[in-house]
Amino acid sequence: MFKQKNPHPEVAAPLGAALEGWTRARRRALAALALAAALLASPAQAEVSAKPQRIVSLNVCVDQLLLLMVDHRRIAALTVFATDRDWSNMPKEARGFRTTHGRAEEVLPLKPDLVIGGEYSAPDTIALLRRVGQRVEVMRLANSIEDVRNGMRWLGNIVGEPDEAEALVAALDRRLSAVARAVPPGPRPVLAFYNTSGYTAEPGTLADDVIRLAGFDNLAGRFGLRIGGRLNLEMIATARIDALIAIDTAETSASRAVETVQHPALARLAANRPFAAIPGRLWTCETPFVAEAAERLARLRAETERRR
Amino acid sequence: MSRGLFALLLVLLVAGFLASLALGPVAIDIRAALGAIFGDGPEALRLIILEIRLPRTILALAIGAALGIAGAALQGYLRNPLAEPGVVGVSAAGALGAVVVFYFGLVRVFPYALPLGGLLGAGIGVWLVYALAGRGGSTATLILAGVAVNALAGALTALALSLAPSPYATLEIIHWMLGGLTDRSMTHVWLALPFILAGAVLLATLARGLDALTLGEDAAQSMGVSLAGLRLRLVLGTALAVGASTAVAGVIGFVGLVVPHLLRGRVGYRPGALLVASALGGATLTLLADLAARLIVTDREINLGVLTALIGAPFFLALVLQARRSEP
Repeated sequence: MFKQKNPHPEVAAPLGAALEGWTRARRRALAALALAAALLASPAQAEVSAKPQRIVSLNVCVDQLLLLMVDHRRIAALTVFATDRDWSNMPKEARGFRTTHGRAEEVLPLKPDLVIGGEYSAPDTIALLRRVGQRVEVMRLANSIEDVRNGMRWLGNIVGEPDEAEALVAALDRRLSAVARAVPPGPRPVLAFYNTSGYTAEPGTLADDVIRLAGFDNLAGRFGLRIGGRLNLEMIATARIDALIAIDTAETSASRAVETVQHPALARLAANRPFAAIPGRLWTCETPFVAEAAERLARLRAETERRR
Repeated sequence: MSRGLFALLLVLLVAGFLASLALGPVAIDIRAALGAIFGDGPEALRLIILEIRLPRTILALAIGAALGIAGAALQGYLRNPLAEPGVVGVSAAGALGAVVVFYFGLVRVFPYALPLGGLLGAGIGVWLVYALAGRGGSTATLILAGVAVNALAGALTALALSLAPSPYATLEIIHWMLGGLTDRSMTHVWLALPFILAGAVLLATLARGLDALTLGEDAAQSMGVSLAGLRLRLVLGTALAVGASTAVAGVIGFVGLVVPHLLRGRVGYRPGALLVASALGGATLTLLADLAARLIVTDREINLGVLTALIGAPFFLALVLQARRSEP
């Protein structure tokens, strides 16, 4: 369903083959309806209906952007992860909405005019929804700060709120440039990021971009790790590192993956040097919360500078 | 056990112990590694030895010993050469117990829930197998009972993982079905070791009773051996040793099958003597297998349970063929 590294929880579902039979008939009916609507609609109505009014999200990143950008009455459903503190930065705001596990059978009765998934949404579900004529858009995974800006703008455009998106991007950029400006001159301290099961922020990921923006040299980059590459505790123990970050496991539910970050060896490495626990939800998505991750790193950068 | 065999196992064990401390992603000199155990050397070295490699080595030895002695005890009592914690489903039942307490948050509140969950699961598993197959039942009945317990425990484990709140849970089934010692720490040593030791000691006390049983139940009873008492110690000892092992490492199969088979002839076919010999052999085999799991592929690890199954399954097949040939 999703790769283990920073999995974006996306609701996935098996293909309901039973629905295939009525696909063609329904598509024809929908086409007829659309034509009739186009003929009947006045220009003013077309303006309003250009903005989707019943949006269903299949991805926890999309959940948060919808809550930030659109009138909440236009959200038909969020994912079950929207209220989960492990994954969402807005669990309180997401309360009271209808949620789905992203199964086609849950989504279709909501009669959405727009379904938005993520790159790791179940491809079978998306294919099925499209086959029955449902409009489905898929948001790309963010691998850089530039991707975050583009992702927010992209979503703003498809939900008809480009100005809201621009405002969010501008606010994000103000906070990120404050972080970049605060970087002290001189050689960059080396930072190791220990994520679950030894995954880290390899070059070419959003987290790597944020780490470098905050003025650190990323250990994963020094080792030349490729996408999917891992660090282990022995490498971190013997490398010369100035600061250490790990994901914040205080609020996450128990798993073997999370347990790897609770290893006593990591606690001892963290006790001797500047350390910060960063919740994964801050910087796995193209949301403005990336700025908070950057600001936490900036504070760690300042502490590292003091202790040099 | 013959002196030569004992010496050979001990030499292999010590060599494995030293290699397990010295080899890994970072190469460490053996003398420096030993020094670090006693607190010498730079901090990074002590950290790697004391917090990463030593706990792993201790767990490999303890879990291997537990599986070896439990296999020998089950085979001795059930009078069946194929009885083994993994094959008969005791390990899988232990994993189920551990999975339930681990993923639903009990372990965060009370850490010892982890070995206790494993113990309870393994206890139920061993009791089920005994109830289904009994003592001296046919091999077919025992294996069928094992298939049933394994299937039930495996399905319930998968169910529990699907319902667990963590989104990682479903991906982690391999850590329980084909376990390993990756990233295990001193925390796990303290959680599991007391239970494993208690279980192994309890199983070792079966020696006299199992030897007496080879003369037949009547003869054993006339020698003062209580079958019920023997059975109780077998169930409890297996639950403690295998349950606590599985709770921290997942299922590591076939150790309890391979080791007693290799050693049985060497101890004069005495089930009592086989117990301690199998503990020693199990510890050695598991430690060497774990070394291989770490070293075969350099950039990632193979689960220990995968390796022991790759060694054990062909062994099991050979035993099946042997059994067929000996049939009339």
